[in-house]
Amino acid sequence: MPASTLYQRFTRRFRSGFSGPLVRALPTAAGVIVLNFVLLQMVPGDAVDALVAEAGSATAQTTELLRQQYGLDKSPLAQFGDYLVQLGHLSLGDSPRYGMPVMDVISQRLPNTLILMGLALAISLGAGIALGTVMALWAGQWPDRVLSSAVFVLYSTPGFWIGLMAIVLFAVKLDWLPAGGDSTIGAGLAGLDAFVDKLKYAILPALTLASFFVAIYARLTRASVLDVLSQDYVRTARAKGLSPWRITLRHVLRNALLPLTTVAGAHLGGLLGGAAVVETVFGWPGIGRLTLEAVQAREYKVLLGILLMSSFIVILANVLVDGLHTRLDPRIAARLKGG
Amino acid sequence: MNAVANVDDHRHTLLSVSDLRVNYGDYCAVKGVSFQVARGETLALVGESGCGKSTTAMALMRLLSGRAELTGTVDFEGLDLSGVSDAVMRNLRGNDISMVFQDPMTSLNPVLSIGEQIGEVLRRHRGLSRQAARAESLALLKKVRIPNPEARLDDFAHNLSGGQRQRVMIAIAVACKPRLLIADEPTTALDVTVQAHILQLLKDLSEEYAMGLLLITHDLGVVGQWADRVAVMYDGLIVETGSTEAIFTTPQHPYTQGLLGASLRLDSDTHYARASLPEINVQRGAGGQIHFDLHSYPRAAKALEPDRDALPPILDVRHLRTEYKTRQGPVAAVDDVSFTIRPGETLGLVGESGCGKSTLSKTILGLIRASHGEILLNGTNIAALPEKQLRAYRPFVQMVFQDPYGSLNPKHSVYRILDGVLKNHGIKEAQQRSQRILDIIARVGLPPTAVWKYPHEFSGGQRQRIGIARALILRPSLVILDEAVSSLDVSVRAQILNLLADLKDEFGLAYLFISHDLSVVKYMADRVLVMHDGKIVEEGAHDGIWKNARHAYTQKLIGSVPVPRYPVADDESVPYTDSAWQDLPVAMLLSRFAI
Amino acid sequence: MRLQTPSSAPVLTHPARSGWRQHVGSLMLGRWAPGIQRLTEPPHALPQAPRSGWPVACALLRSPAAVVGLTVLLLIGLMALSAQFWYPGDPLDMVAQPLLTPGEDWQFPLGTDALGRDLAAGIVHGARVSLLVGLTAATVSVVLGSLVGALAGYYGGRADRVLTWLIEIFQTTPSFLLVVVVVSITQSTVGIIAVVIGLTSWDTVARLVRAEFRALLSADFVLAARSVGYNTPWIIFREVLPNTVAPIIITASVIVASAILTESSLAFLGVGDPNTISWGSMIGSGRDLLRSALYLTAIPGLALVITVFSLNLLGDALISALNPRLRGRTA
Repeated sequence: MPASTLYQRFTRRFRSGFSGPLVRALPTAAGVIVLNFVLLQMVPGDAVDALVAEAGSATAQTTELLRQQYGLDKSPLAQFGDYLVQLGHLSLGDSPRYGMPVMDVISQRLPNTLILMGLALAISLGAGIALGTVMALWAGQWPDRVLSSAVFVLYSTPGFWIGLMAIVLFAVKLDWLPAGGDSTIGAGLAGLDAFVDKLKYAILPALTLASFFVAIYARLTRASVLDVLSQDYVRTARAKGLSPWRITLRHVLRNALLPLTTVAGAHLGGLLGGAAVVETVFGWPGIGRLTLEAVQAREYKVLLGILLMSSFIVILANVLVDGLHTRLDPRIAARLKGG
Repeated sequence: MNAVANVDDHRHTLLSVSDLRVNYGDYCAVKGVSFQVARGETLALVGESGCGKSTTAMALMRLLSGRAELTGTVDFEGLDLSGVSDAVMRNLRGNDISMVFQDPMTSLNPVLSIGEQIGEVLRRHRGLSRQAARAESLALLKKVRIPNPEARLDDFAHNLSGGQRQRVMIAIAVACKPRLLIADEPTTALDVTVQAHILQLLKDLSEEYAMGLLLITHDLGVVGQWADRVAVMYDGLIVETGSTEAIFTTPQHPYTQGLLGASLRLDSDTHYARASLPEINVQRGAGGQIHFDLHSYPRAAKALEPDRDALPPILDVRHLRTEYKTRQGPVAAVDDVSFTIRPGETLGLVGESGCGKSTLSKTILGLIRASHGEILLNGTNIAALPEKQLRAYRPFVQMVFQDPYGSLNPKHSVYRILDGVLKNHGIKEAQQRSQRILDIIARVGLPPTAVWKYPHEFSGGQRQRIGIARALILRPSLVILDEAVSSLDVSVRAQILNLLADLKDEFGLAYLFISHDLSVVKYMADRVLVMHDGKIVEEGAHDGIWKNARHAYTQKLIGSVPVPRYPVADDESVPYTDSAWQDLPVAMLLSRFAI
Repeated sequence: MRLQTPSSAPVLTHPARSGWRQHVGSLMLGRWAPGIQRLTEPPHALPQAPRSGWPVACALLRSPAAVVGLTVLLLIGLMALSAQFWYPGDPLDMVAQPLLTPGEDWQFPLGTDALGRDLAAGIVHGARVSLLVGLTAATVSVVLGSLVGALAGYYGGRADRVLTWLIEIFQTTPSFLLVVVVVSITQSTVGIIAVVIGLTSWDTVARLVRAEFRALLSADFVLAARSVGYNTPWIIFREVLPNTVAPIIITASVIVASAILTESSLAFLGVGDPNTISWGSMIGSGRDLLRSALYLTAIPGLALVITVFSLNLLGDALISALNPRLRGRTA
């Protein structure tokens, strides 16, 4: 089959798989924008008050003039319109403290967080699925009991505490890995060396962030695999005389991992929240740490900008996951078509 | 209980089972079973639910879970299957011994295409390449008579109908030309008209490949038509074996006699007005002996009371039409249906799944709004009444549902279920209510201690009795029985049908008896309607209609094999099997909590 | 065959019913059915009713994990309730020499922190905060989520679409960040933190309850209830709701655990209530002395782990007890 038609077939299914979820995500995105606007309105004081406070004081007249200038005396609905226009220009306002648009502040730090989250997701999915499958295949026997207990403890431990203990163990006592930051300062490394250096700094935070999710994916995989193992089609596969390996990989896992993709999108929000904590513990310069700085400095524009951006990231991830799911599970496409 | 074995010496014995026992810890599912299957022969293993026939079949192929312990000999052409290693067993499965399971929807992998699933077994046992396996799969699909096989190869299980899926399962099973084919209730989950084709296909294939066919079923009609020899199972043991003719004409064991007597057939003349069905009474003696007793009694044939025809009908349905919306526009589930039910009459309604019978019963009950037409309940058109006024008429028409497991609230005791009904209809005194509850519980044949139990503590037949009690406690005039006995075993069904006939006399009821099972309707009804695609296609007296069917569809129905007892679930009624959240592991929904 | 004794038509009187119905009733039943049978035996008394709720409690107590979890939780609860008795006053007060290690001074069995505050007092009072936040958040989530989920599941159609949209908004917004934002906008007191955590967790309860309702409303026994003539509130509260209690309880236990973890994270980051001590804030303040005084972070951390661990044990045991089908399906 010529490569071009293969490509066309793939992208056609790709596009059709994603366009549906994208359309369905629009109302949610709209709702998120409304929510953020409402929260913005709830902020005590407004930009003018902050300006006035910085300046020392001002007369009521000046304050009123300033309000008119910034458009803060309009009705909430009109302000919402302004807000939408601002968003349309991909702007989240300006931050006086950082001296640049909020959007720039966030985009500087965002890649770091995404690296951390990506690494954590990969570790947690890989380890979690493997552990969960082992637990399910030996359900009730000692491998399952041991792993289940370990996973249970992991599930019950707060991430920041694991991070702190990890620092004590790996950075202080064993001195294998650095305790914080994201790169060796002043080393002037480049290329592969810089990459390896960054990895050294990223491992502990990523492992800490992944810890909770390893437990979650292990439990989910275990439950899902156990459920699939009791299904009739696994019995049919055994009746065909297939080898256990083939049954596990092709029949069991292929079905058991489907529900995982359903919930994976929902976990991204948790990952973002976890990143906030982990970045603070390890001094990793991402938007999580930015959140804390913004809270301390009362930079509400930045805070809400982060909230909006992360909500959109979650929505986008859900769209991707939905599209992927449609491709993986033929029943969904049929259900959507037939109704 | 003496098992009588008839072995045909001139046929080559393929499978010889001796004293097979299956234990799950303390629980003994199969207690010492012995039978033989010869090459080219069909042996039917018959029994009701829980007798161990499926467990036996799975034990032959060693497909039971690890907790099961097998003892005994399973001799398959010289090889003892109970002792071979797992690797040897895997080589035999799908290759020399194959199995076809009951529910083809769940037995096929939902995410792999049909072609892949058939090809899998060919590539495993014959080492074919992908293209060769695909070609061979196509040939197999043609062999099992699937229409449009080229398109089906890349389809998935949910794209096919029930009958087509079962054909695919058969294709997978016979792909490597096995010597023994085990079919575990292969047609139970299918419609009447499809059953016959599937069984014919199985028979033809077993002759073509000279396979031994072990047919597991609960349906004596199927046995009578397709099996050469029969083994009857009860509670883990075989109570009788013999050729089909011997078993059907001269059954020796009382359990077999009871099963045969309670099995309703189109060609028999039994009718509820003349005699009750035989009920099997099982007594367990000390020392584990089981004593069977058959019990049946005649009913005085009530001459049709002359003034019955003069009475106005209880229910008069005129040009009823119920539509529901789909993306393609409104679809009529019930299309211009008219009939009457006279007081004290049982009107039977026959139809396959999807013909609209459930929608019809729900419309009559007022649970669904009719789009056109009238429903005259003793003269009043209830189709047009708003909900508040409709409530006043509810006590006069009640329904008994099909699924004994879904029709009772699992969180309510029997007392609470019945008490609520009475309270809702204005009986204020608790003493009066408990009196009536005890009364009706006794009438349906349950002990008084049953009132405080919860539904899960009862068997299917007992739950149906509770459902009947709930329907009758308001003293209705008309009871709609919507597939009320379809989910029950043969012997339990006999008890419930007898109960229904007795109660009809006592309470002076009229019944609308809906079923897909022609033979049950033939037994229970005075008049019969046949429904197809939302319309009534034929109407007649209970005996005449079967002999002189005029409509093509009725003839097709009658010409099919005796019916399954577990029809494919209607889209019209969704069985409640625990709740949605339990299908998705709870951990999944709760796993978003992460910090 | 039973005797048929003619008798008067059955009396199903209800004062509010219209006379028309009674007229119909006598017509229908009196004319055809000869009447209602009399019992040939004297009526029995009602047999003794067993105590309800017993089987669930029994199943729960049979699992050792549940017993352990329950016991630990009860102890922690007792400790929390009697906090004022054991350590009256404010645990944030400086009472002793700073940085006493545990066991050095028997008066301060868990040592003191960098500002001379008693660690044991902090642990005991911190338990109060954690449990308070956990229970409040769970209550808020359950009440709000059940309401929204029930309405969405019952009414379907447009109401369902609007409510699902609302659920999805809260589902996609990262809940921890939302809590941080809202708490920093409003005040950060324990009460507000608890309520806000509840307001970010209700979407899971709502989804669960909605799914339950949709499944239950198509069940046969609900149809039967409608055909008997029950009205809508009766059906919702008597037929449907009791079947949704089990998943709600399990979700509630998970939310309690999650809320405790969230609150401790907030306190650790310094976003929590500055005037109240909490296990998270203790870990946060001990962070700078990680290398030299490990006990400052280790002890409150252990307290957290033990509490959440017990809650999870209880939650898992509840899943098994309330639904035998899922036994062994979770870790």
